[in-house]
Amino acid sequence: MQLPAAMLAPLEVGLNRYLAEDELALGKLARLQGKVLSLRLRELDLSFFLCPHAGGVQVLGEIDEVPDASIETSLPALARYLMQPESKQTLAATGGINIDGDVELVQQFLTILQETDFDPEEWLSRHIGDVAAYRAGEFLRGALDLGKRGLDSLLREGSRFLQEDSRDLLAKDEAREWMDDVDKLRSAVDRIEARLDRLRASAGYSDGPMDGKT
Amino acid sequence: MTKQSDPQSAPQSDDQSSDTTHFGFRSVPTAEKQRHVKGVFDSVAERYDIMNDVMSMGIHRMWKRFTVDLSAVRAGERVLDIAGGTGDLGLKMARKVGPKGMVVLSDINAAMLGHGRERTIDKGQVENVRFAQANAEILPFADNSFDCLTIGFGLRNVTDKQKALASMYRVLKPGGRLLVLEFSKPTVPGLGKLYDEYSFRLLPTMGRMIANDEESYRYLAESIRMHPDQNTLKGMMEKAGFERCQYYNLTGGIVAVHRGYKF
Repeated sequence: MQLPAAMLAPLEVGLNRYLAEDELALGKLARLQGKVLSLRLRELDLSFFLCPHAGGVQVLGEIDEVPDASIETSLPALARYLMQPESKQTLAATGGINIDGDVELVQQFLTILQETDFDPEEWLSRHIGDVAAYRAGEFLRGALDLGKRGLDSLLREGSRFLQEDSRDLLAKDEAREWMDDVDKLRSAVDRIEARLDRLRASAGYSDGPMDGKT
Repeated sequence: MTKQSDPQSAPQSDDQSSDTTHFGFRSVPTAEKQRHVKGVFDSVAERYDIMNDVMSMGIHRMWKRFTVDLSAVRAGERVLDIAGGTGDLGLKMARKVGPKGMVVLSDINAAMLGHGRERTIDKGQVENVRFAQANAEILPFADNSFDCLTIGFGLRNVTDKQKALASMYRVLKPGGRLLVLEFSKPTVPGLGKLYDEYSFRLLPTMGRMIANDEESYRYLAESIRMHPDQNTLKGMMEKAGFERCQYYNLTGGIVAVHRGYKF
């Protein structure tokens, strides 16, 4: 999912405020000027482009250029890599970070962030609420458009949002599957109980089933 | 001599022809626009700040803060604030660049620049601010002089915007950035009509009540409608040589901040 530019701006401003305190890091970023990295965070389903320059990093939702490198990762995996510079682990040995394109560029870029003690989880945590609000707003906008088509349609869209997008509700198929599993489990428990009763009876126990006595 | 033009059919680009240009909804000889704009700002200069607060209900402060944040201006940098008027953006920048940096506050209008200068002195921000009465189309600075350029609510009053953007590109250092804060085209459905009512009915009335100048505020509303929309302005910046151009809609697109780099 792409966020509008106005929502990416606070991310950029936050990152650059951080980098502005480290002249050395800015000098290194200046050497990467002209390069484009794309970053996709899996669990947030967020994608954006990062363009280093002498003043920091430009964060864009879309760009005409083809990225020099693409990073696909989860936020915890990225944070783990950035917060453990002493391990000197190479990107190739790092789990959870997939790279396409110029690996050397990604290594250089992430090393700069490592050296500034940049914490991506803290960086993004301030804006997660905005992202959720934006998604809810997008849903609402869609639902209001659909309002003309009737309440049924609105409810259908609502349940689809809760089931598929937000994952707050189970989808119908998943619910049916889950109910089947519950039935199977209940049958299995009944069978085990019956078997235990038979075993107790054959061993000469006279107490009723499952009374806790041995 | 002036004539009325239809705002709906008016071109989004700068000038209708080499002989005439728009001044609000009117067509005026190109050579005269500067004089007309001067008349407007001579008239509103004294009450410009208070009118900005009233007109935008104070939101212009947030728009300007966003522009300064987006500029990522750092200590020691050289900033040129074009059409800097009473110094709102320039003074914020001056605090960012600190004593080792410098902000040049420029405006074509002497009355506006005078107010900016008085305000700068009143705020005690004198050590790193300089003043220049300058035309944005022919900026009187050497090539590659500034790390950052800003123009807040000024570009729409410039006669030849493309020429001004080219001039800005020339004085910007490689790696530097230009930020244009300007009224733009509302993008939120339904907002346009409400905004029209506000601009063409309420705004001139407020201008009459607060600044005793209905006509100038009518011009402000008209000039906003005649200003290029978001994508047109982005294209003009790219034509001038700026790269990685991008715009940020604020308050439903009523205002947009455009940013472009010189690499």
